Amino acid sequence: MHEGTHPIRGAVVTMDDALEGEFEILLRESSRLAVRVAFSVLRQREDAEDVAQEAFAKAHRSFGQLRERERFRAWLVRMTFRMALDRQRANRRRAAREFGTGDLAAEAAPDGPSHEERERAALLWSAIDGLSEKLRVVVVLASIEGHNLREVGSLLGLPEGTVKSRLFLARQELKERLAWMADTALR
Amino acid sequence: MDGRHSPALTDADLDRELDAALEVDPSPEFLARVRMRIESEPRRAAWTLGVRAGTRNWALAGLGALAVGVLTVAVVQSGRSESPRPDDLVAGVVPQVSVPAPPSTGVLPAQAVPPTDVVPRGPVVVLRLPARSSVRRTAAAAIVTTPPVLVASSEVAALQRLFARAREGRMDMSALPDQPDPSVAPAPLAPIDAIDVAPISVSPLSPIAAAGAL
Repeated sequence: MHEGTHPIRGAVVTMDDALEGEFEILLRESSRLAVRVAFSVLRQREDAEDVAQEAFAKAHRSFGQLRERERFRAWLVRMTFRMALDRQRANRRRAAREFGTGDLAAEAAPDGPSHEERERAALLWSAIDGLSEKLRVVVVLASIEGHNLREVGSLLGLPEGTVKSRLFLARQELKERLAWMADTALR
Repeated sequence: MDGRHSPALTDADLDRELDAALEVDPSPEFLARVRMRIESEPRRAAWTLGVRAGTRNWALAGLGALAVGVLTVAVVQSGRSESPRPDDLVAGVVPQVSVPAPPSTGVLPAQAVPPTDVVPRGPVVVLRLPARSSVRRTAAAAIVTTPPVLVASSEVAALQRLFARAREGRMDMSALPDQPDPSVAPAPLAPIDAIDVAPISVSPLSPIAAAGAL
């Protein structure tokens, strides 16, 4: 292995080159997944990247048990989601304390090219926020990177049937909420 | 109600909305930040332990349990017997000394010199050691309570040679002098005077006068 292929070499002097390479590969191929999972909760890129970064640092510390790719990604998704929820709660507490409002992220405009798209995205995020955590993580994972039911089940450690039913409920609930919110906005 | 309704959201619409909402890629510097974050962590010597924790953790746990068990047994043993019991003690082993073959003349040498190849140099220490010497405190107590007996190695060798030859009937006394050497004979003793002892006479006791008054 060469220094250039594994930039974290200097950090883990006792890690052999094979492990170093394995972690680097998983870091590269899972970074988008982790950021998107965090973003689905926090809706701010910087916060999402902070949380994903911490999740990778934790994964690095426990890499001995996470060398298997699927296990690594499943652990990463769950850890990132949990840490993002913690960050969201902390943000809400801070916002309530400092600004008297409940959610900084809800007021932050997600990336979008137009005002109309931002409004639609805000509605969607509001609907997603209304989902329970179990339903939210399923619908988010199913929408990220084209995961199918089996893959979502593998990431969450759930049977495929459970994922299917939860995904159905989540989508149904989202559609109803979005329809209701759109109707309310039109009145 | 003004009669306006939003059109029903289809699955395709929802998928499209979700895809658009979640289409966030990490920034170009994200990977570099993660690497720096990992580098900033204190270097842990236990990293390799963590890497192989699947196998090593069990081994470490086993060793820990074994150590605790050994310590427990040692504490229980030492608390049970502060001083060694008699049946815990066995006699120390005196080094086995092989007897060299007698000289061809059959004469015992005038001065026995222990053969250096069979008799260990230095004093022989005979100790009473505990039979269960695994308990160090018991062993230490035994050493303290039974003082060592020191026997010179040359004496041990000479005595064992003597006993061996006497047992085998190979003691040759011809080398001993038949007549005492006049030069070393003791001087004659001075004559002793006779001792006169007067005969002892015993006279009967006189009756007690007051005996009749009783």
